[in-house]
Amino acid sequence: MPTFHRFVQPTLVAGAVALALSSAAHATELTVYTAVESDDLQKYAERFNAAHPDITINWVRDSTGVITARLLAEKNNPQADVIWGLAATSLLVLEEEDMLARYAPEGVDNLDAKFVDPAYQDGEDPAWVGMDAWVAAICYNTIEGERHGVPMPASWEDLTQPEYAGHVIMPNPNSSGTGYLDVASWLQLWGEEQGWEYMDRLHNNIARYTHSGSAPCSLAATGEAVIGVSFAFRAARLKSQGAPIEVVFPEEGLGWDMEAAAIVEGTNKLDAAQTLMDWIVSREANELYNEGYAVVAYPGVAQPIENYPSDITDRMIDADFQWAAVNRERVLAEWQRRYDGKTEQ
Amino acid sequence: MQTTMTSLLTADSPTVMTQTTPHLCIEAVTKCFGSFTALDNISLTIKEGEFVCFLGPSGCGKTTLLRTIAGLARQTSGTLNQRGNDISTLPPQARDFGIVFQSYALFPNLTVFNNVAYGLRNRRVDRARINARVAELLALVNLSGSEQKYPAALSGGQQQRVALARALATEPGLLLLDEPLSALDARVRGHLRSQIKALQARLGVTTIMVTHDQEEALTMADRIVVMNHGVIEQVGTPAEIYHQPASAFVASFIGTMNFLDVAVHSAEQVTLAAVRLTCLPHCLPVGGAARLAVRPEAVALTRQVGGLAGEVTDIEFLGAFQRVTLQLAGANQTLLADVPSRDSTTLGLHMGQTLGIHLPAEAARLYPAGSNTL
Amino acid sequence: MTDSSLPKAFPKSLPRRGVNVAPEALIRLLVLLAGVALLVVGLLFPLFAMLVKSVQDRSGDFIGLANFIRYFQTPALVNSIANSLSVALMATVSVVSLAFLCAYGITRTCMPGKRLFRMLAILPILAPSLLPAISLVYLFGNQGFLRDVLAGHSIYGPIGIVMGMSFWIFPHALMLLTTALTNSDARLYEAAEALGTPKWRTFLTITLPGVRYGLISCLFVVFTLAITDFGVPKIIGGQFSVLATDVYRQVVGQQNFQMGAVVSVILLLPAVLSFIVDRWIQRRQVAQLSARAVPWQPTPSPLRDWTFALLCYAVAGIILLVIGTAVYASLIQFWPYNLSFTLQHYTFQGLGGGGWGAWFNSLKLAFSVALIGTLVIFFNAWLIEKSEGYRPLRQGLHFMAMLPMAVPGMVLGLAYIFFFNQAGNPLNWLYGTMAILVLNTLVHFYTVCHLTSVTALKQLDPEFEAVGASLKVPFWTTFSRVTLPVSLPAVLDISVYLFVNAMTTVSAVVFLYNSDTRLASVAVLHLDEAGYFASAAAMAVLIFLTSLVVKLLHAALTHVLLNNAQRWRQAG
Repeated sequence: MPTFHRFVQPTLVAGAVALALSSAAHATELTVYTAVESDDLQKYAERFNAAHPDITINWVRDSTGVITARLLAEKNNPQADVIWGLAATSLLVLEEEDMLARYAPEGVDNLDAKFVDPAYQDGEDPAWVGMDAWVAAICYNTIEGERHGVPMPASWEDLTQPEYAGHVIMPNPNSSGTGYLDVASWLQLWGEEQGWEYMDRLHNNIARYTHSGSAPCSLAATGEAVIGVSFAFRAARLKSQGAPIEVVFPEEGLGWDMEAAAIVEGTNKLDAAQTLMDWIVSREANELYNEGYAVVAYPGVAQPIENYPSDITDRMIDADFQWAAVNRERVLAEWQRRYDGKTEQ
Repeated sequence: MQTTMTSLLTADSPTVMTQTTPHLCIEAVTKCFGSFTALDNISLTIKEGEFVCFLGPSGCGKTTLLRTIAGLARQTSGTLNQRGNDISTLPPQARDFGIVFQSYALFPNLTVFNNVAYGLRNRRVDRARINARVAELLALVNLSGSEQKYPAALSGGQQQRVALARALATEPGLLLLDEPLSALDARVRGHLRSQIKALQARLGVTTIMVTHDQEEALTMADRIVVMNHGVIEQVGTPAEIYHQPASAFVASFIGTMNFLDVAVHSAEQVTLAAVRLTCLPHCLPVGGAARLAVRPEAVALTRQVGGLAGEVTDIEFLGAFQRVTLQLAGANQTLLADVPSRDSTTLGLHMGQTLGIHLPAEAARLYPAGSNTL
Repeated sequence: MTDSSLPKAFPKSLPRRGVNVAPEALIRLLVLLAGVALLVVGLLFPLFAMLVKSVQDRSGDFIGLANFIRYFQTPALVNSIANSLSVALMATVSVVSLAFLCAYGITRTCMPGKRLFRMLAILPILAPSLLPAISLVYLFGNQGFLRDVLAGHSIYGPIGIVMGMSFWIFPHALMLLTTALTNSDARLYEAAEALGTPKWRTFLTITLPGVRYGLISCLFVVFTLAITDFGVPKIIGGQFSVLATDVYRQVVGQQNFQMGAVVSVILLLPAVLSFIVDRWIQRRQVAQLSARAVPWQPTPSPLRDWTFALLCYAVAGIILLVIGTAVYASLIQFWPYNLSFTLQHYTFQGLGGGGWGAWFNSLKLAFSVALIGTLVIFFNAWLIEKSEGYRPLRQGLHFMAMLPMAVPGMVLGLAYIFFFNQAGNPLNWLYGTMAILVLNTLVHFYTVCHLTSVTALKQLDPEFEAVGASLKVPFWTTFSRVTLPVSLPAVLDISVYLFVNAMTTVSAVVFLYNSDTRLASVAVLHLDEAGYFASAAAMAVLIFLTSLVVKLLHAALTHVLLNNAQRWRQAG
């Protein structure tokens, strides 16, 4: 039946071509795990490739909690070569599990010592290097606030007031790095007992917990919520895009975490991984981070950013990443025990 | 296999094989489906060029036997030999046969030409020869000019002939016909019956036809294989089957048959309704019961009442003859007798009449009591 | 038959190709084994690996039912069972009753616009189930223009889940019930009318009993779809967790694979149960239909016809509204504060999820599944239906072909991780490739295609293969020259079914994609998770339009093919 053959053959050919296209090979491909905001991933890869066109980056991106859990789950059969842009607290957990390959990138000495694995000061190669700081912030929708009679908060404490009931959205710390830095900062600010007591009160006002750290701010920006507990990068960007939000930096102090990078132990592409690490600590890379983040690892690079307060460094709390990393599992389990069931799936 | 092939289209050239060479030897073939035995130890030899009919009621195993010969069903035990080659375990593709199914199984999406050429296209035959071959086959079945038609555009009889042409196209040594005429109406069936028979005779191709229609079998077959419950009841020419049925079943299945309960009196005599009748020599135990089978047309009726007699209880007008039902005097048994129309006048046939009955010994057959009829 | 028709000098014998019999039988066995292997590797092994995982701890040691005990001691997890059951039941009741009324309108009234309604009613199938969820947020969310309809209730939660599920399950129910209601026997109605039976009694004593098997079957199919759905509760569930989203949260959110396996086993139970009931009913239904039934034809009745017409138009209107909302959402600059139109959300520039690359991947997946799946599934069905011998193999293959219907996508996807991502598995290389997505999707949607194939094959003359064999033609030639072309309409139906499902599915593949093989449907999910609601809507609309175009092409192609085939189909 000729009509049949005419129908099938071009399809077969098309299928074959499609499959062939997908298997086009590159020189070196690095699988890079990241929690960097997806807005910027393409830009990161392009800037790096401008300097090193022979290395292709295959991004695997998800929320901080997901990427961390995934790395831990793959411990015995690692899929990632490099981690570029994950919370330092998470990297400390991985270091504890001996999953990171120590390496001192060329030019690491140029970085602010706070942004480099403290082991480097003790003479060891650093297991990780920092990139930038990402800072907690509150997104407040001015239009919806007025409509619902919900005033702009000034502090974390304000969020527990009765008029905020059902209007606050925050990320789930189990999946979101932003969520965890909030929880960790409250526990560090007020101590464990008062910290949990604060979250108990806050929980009563929470409409829901989201999967990602961006979502609360996005939801506030579209008026689905009045208040989204999020982070400064997303808040500033949404405001620039015209969302009717005010970015609030609570007066008690801002929790923050460091975005950092590391080589995964056991990678069989060590050369390429080290090349990438060298670039990650470069001035050029830090200028790139500064396009989204006000505080970066390379001293003297940072330029002020739209919608960020100029004194942001002073308002960041004195965060203890070591504490946050060591207690991560325990805190998350406790959080889950107390509040799970109000989480967005 | 090639060297032993007769070219079926050259019937006027001398046949390579003589009529007595066995074409197919079936030996002790048994086929079970689970606990059901469809074929029970079947042995049969089919001669070269013969037209054999498998005849029997539905479920008797005749189609299963045909499918076993084709390799479409695998026998549970037993062997099959075709022209001296053991084909018992060969798949259908490796056996030498053509087949026509009851449904014809014509490929609906292919034209008549492509249906007939279906088996030829696979053989690296060049196009011109295929064309010529198909034209010849279609001429053979009187369908020249229908090459480009689709099966759905043909009548049932025409489809049947296309199926036949397709089966013959590859010159099979054995032609298998599975109830090929049963889907057709009576008139077409009668016509095709003689066409197929004539074609088979002309081509000399060994043919096995499965049918449940005794008339079809009697008119077409050289030999008939009567089957029942998975066993062969009788193998014989149509005349043998009709006149000398080997079992009560065959007797009852072919044509119409009277069965009368009798007592065996001696090796050549039986007693029916207290009347002693002579019969052909037999070896049933003397003093036991038996069944006497006699065809209605063999029964002679006379106006003289003496010996066996009966009362007319029904008369059925069947055109050339009348079928008379008689209640035997002195026995609670009935008997059918076919009386030619001319004789019925002589007899003055009417209801309630008592007539003398003569059962000719040579036309009566004796079977053991309790033997199965249809 | 005259003498002249007999050729005098035809060559003694035509050349006979050496028939390679042994290879043919061997090939038949090999392809049968390949079909069995496909489902053993693609279905049984993964499911087994999942069952094993559910009774192991994190380090892989056997711990009996400890995971299950922990599950039932964790209220947050156990609550999901009741949640799942309640939304699935609500969705089932609302979908089936609405679909029944619409199907009744189509089959038993003379309402105008039947064809148009039927076309509009299948549109939801072409969209990922994430699309209605996104639309519902725009319609009924805090900024939604219909939010007052909910009278203060939140769309995030059971209400939204039931509405979203109802939207995308409706076409499935409508098709099943339309079929059930079409199989009527006019003779029964004529008898009832002759006896002066009132209409309502006719409905209760003839119509309902006539469709009871179809109705029950539909109830179970809808319930299974609802309880296993992932997309809708993921987007709009708010803090209302169900089993399918628990699997995702356990696995992706917390990488707790053991607990994911436990939830999967629990999710498997209702699906398997309803599968068994459905099979049992299907078997009984076959005996019920009489071949002599005369189809019933409705006679006009303006009041009834227009009542049903209005109902159906309302349903069609809602369908268009939901799809229209997604389209609208994807075109608005910054909803709800800047309502100017823009196409920028379709650039997916700088957003996660993979953008147009993901769409292209989905297209590749859909084409591959449609092509490979159709041939493999149809060919396997042919092997099961039309070949002799190897009975246990063929029966086993048929059984395995029926199973995927009972396996929820989330469960299958997770099972694939467990099986293919074992370090020692020789098939480990498949993990993270497009091939595993093709395999997974093919297996996921196997059953419906298998049943369609079997139905089509049963309509063919059972002796085609025997004729082919008697003519010494290899079975694959008969398959490709006769069986496949004759079954082409069914084959095309299968391919478009596979294409659309591969385009829209998210539940199984969400566990299996990697950076090279991101899919459009998964991108919708991630865009929504990250808060890019307009881009999520844009991607969902893109999937919908792709499916729609393919569906239209399919309709046109079928039309052309049937027209061509008309010559032989109805030549008589």
